[in-house]
Amino acid sequence: MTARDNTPRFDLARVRDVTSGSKRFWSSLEELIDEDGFRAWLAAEFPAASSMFDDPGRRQFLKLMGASLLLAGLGGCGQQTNADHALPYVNQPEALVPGVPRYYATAVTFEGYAQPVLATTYDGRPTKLDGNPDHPVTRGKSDAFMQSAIFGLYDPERSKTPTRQGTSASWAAVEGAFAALRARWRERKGEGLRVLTGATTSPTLIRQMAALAREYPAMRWHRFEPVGHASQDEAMTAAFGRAVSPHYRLDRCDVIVSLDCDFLGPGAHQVSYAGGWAQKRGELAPAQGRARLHVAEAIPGLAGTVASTRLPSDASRLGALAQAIGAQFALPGWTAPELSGAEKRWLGRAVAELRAHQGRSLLLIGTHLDPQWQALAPLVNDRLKNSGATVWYSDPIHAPADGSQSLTALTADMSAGAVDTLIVLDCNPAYSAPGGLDFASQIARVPNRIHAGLHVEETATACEWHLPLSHALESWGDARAVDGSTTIMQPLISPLYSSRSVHQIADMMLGTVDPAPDTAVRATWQQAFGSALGDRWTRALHDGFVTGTTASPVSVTARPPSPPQAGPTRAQGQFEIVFRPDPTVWDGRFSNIAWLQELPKPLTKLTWDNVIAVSPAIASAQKLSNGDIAEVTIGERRARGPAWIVPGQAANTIALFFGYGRRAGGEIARESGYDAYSVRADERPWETRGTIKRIDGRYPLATTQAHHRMEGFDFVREVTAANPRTPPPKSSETFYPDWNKSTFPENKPEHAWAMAIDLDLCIGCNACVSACNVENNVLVVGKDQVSRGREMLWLRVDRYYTGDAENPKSFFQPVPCMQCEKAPCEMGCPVHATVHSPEGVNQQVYNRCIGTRTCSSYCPYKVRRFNWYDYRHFSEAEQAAKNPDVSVRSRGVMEKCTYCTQRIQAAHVQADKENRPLKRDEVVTACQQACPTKAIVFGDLRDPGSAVSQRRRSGRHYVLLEELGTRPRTTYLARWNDGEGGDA
Amino acid sequence: MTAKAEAPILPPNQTYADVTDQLASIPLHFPARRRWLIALLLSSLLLGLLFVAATVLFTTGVGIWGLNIPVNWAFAIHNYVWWLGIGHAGTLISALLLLLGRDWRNSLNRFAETMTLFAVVCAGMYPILHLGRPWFVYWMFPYPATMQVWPQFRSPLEWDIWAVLTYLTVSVVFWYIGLIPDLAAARDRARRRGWQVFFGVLSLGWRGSAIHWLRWHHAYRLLAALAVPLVVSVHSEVSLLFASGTIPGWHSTIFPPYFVLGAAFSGFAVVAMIAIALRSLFNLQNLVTDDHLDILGKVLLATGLMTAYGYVFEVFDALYSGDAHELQTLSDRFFGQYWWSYWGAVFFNFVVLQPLWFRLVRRTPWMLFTISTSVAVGMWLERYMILVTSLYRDFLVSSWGEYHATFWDWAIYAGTIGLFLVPFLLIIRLLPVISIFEEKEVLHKEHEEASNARA
Repeated sequence: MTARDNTPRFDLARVRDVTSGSKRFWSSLEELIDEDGFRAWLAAEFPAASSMFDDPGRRQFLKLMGASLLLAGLGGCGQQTNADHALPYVNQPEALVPGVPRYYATAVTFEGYAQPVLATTYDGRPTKLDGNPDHPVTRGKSDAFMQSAIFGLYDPERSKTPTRQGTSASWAAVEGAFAALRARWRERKGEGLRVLTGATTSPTLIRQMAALAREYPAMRWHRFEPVGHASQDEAMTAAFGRAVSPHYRLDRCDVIVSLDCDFLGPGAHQVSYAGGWAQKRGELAPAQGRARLHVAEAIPGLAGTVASTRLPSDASRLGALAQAIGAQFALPGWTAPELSGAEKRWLGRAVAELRAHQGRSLLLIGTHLDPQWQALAPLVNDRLKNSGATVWYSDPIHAPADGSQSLTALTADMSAGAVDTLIVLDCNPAYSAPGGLDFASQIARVPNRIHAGLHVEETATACEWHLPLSHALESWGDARAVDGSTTIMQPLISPLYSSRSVHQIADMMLGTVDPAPDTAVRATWQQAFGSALGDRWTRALHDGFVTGTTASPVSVTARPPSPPQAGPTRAQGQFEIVFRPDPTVWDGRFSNIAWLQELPKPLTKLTWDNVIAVSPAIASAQKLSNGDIAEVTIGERRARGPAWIVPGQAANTIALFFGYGRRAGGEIARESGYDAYSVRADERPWETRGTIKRIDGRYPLATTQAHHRMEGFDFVREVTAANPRTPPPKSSETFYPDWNKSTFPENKPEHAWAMAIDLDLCIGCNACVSACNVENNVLVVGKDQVSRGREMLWLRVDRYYTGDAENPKSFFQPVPCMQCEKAPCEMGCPVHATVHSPEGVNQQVYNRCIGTRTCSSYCPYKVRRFNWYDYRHFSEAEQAAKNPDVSVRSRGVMEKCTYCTQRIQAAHVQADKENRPLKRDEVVTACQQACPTKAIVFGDLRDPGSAVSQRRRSGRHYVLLEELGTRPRTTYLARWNDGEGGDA
Repeated sequence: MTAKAEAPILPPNQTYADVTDQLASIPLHFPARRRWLIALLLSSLLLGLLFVAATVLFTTGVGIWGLNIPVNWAFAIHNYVWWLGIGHAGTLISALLLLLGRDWRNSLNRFAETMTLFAVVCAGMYPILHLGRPWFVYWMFPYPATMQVWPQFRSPLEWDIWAVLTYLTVSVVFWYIGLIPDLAAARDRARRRGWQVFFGVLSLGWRGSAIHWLRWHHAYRLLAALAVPLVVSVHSEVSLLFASGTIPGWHSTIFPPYFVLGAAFSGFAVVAMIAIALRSLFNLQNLVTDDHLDILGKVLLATGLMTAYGYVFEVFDALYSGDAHELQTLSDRFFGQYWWSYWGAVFFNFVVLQPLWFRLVRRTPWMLFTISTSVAVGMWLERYMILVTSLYRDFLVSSWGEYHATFWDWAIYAGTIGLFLVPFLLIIRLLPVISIFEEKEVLHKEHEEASNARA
């Protein structure tokens, strides 16, 4: 219920009518003019009081609640805020200056893990999330999911009110329902009560579930994560006899060998591992300690793109490689399987390097592989003396679930009729359960079904009750980051809608009436902090994590894994099909976030859809081309979707991606793609066998990059150990003086902004692109516009291939505006809408732009973006997400990267206020701030000590399209080639 | 009639009065009402389409066209160049040939100038239509803004505004000055009061006195001398719209002459089309003679060959530079997605032109008409080719894209054809399509020469 919906028009006559001649007490005008509406509001806001407000008890009611009602303004601080009721401060709070951002440390969660953030808020509105710089996991860095979480908060399609069978209800009614259910549970001692959540690390939720289990001993708490770490838990249990969480110290690794483990790919660990890995790259030349990386993988991942050697390998062959590694380390019972020449070469080199760098190497085996293979890695790392050095183990960070707590067990119980009440908290199994489980039809057998989530998603429509959850940025909570350190999450804004947090709902299950948002979390930390609660609580909120909660190593020794049952077999007449989360919408949890839909997937550059990724070999055998509709048959089940040929995908492999084909959960979520879960089997969740065939018809796909070869140009350059420098710049004749040799020394700018991007560090993860989108209010244009080549990305990550399609080398190249010193765009504009700043930034004056597009026609880098239509179709909620320091561009206006000019100006203002010059590297652009590998560096060229000046002196420095003489301020560092093509 | 160059271009067996009667009676006693009405109706439909398309364009944005990044210029700019090119022949024929004393121009200059006028109007529409925010078009003018922001005079678009507006102004004045004696003739022959007033006002009190003629000749030649350099400047400037950009396929010094010659080429083609159409519509074979067609055919062939030289040199430039991006663009033009625009231009502008070497072809109206139409199409393809094949694959492979014209692209283009035809049809309905007094001048000269020869 929002107050706006039922606020009647104010009618003075009616008020006079009601008040005349009576001594009626009243507390608000709403009460006078709309008794029904007032009652509804009262019932929602003070359920316990609403019964008292009936006429006979009114006097008593007023006695009890008068104070609360007179403080009805509190409603604005609590459950409901509404722009209609916003009032200016009477006394402005100290230190709160309108328009000046404030920063709060908190976290958002991803698969249960905390992503520690520092949130920027303007006048009470969070507008941007960045990694918490003090937190050991993020060190200020972020990923695409963290950056885009803000859009999840302002998603206009979030569910806004509890519903019962699709019609809205009040929280009072929900509490009534819980009261009835609790009586039932108590009677049956919790028999038949099941709670299903996603993976969680939250101490409070774990405590609440334990409390629930104490109260109703027979209840069971199930956990289900469509991607998650279930198979890793299984493997670790097999290796160590207990569940542990492995932690990799990639910054200590000289050699990393990965069997299908995309440790740089999207996921909870991306920021942490990418940062660690990057420390062993960069200026370190091959053979100077630069880490070497050998990757064998079924489908191209981000780690594969930066590997020294990469081997495309079908899932079954990955097993064979694992077995061969086991045999090489002479594990009892492990025999060497047949390997092809390429496999032998790759494996020989990988194992030799692992052995040569004992204690400084690491074998990683991906969580998509069968746990029997994964269990090999701990033993090999033990043998290589890597344990304790490059890998250590801790007690599990997340609450591990055993087999009886799985979704499989739950579904079995549901079909057996053993489940009486199912409460699904922030989890969507009706969509994401493997199709083989048939969860969606089994859930109908449960008499009492309650779902709590951010959206009215598939599971919500299958449940009697749907309860709207508060977003992580609206609620109190706690969660552990991948290193185990715990963040107490504080709300940055009061809930936008009538929603409650998971902990509030868990408290309601425990019998609390109308639980306060922070009670449960405070209770948890009361136990931990004891009498020091006040100080330590404040400290933890300020820092963004609780000191001393980082996981500590446990001493475990890997057991030799049992020999593989049967050697892996090649598929006969069938293809190997692997399942993967989507790189931008993951398992579907982000599928209603338009910006993540429009974020180009790192390797395919596709937006708005998932595809059936096929290898070039399968495509040519099945006569499939990009966009053809293909049908994949796995056993009895079929899925249809557009085919896409992925260079570098293993020859016999087809990949299906989750997150699309949604049937509910919002307009955007429902729009596109096919449902890969429907053909997923519960017992073989990651790889299976099946066939593919072409179906007549084409499916329109929207990609932001249609061509992927460099066509003989050297946009991305490489250097080798033998030849570690890029060719020196050709001196070209020019009429123009250099910027720092101005004829008028007094005009010499104090700063000369520049950016240098190290292509050796770029992993194409999209963190920079997402950060840029949020920072600069870049608008979503939709699939149709993207397919017409009208995407708005100010910063794009170009992806190129070299070599053959079966195993190409991939390159990423982020391309923001080059900020040319001699900018072709500037001389084309007839109205001075794009001009040069004294500090060397090529500025775009939106207000002055009339949209001739000459600048874009002249731009050799095509980094300018045009508002072909008015793309500003956003709701009030989305409007709140906009950065107030950046104008939102209207129709007919050109826009582009500005080096985050608002940040440069803010830094100038700050320095002026403090009467000091700008500090070295004080200005940080949004992309630079986000980049987990520090590939992007920004700063002042006039300061020889600045990071960007240092990079410019590197031998690897080069200029994109230097021959044009545009003198870009954005330049690149060439990539090291230490693989087979290089001479290392 | 004889084929010798010195031979009289007009058949001498006609009197001055015949000529005046014949031409001035066209608006006064219009001969082809039915056909004219049908043509006007069809053109008005096209004009209506322009209004619809422009309304949609102004209310929703240029997104209705097939534009994108990288091809953010296409139909609007290329049709602008095409129309402006067509507009060139009028001024060339009128002014340049007047100064050079080529008498044959006197049969063609009036409608050629009229054509110029409306072609320039069509062209002039595009820079406004193509703006993202057309309501701010006045920012291109150096008006005294309170913010003290000026247009940027380095921008070829800014020069464009000036070049086109100057050209349009001079063309209008030149056309009108040339019309005055004929307006007076029409006034004198008009019987109905309305026509008398109409032509009377327009003829500015012309009485045909010797001093009038003297002043008139001064003014007319002065304007002609002004107009001729404008022909060169306008299209040179238009070509700089491209040549100033760094884009391969654009960034070339050959562009100004290449564009001017191409413009004259397409302009003469359209003049030939109109001449043939009017001649048959109004039975003007005695004034627009086969000799005129012959000359037009020769000019067409000459300008066509010069344009072909431009093609050759574009290829040579790219090859000689050895620049990888230029070579890439060259290969995109030859074999890329829009190969048809390149080979279409070569075919329609060069191959189809070759029969003009034969006298018979030049003098056969339908043949010349067909070839002229082919040139108009060919030049349209050439402008398309220069724009789209350069932009769709410029430097960075990652930003390569495609362009596909939408319904609205075509609607605006068809609409401008309506915008051209409707006023043109009205003018031929209302005013003498061929300059009466200038024809008589030629006739007079011929008679004199004939009598001199006899003497």
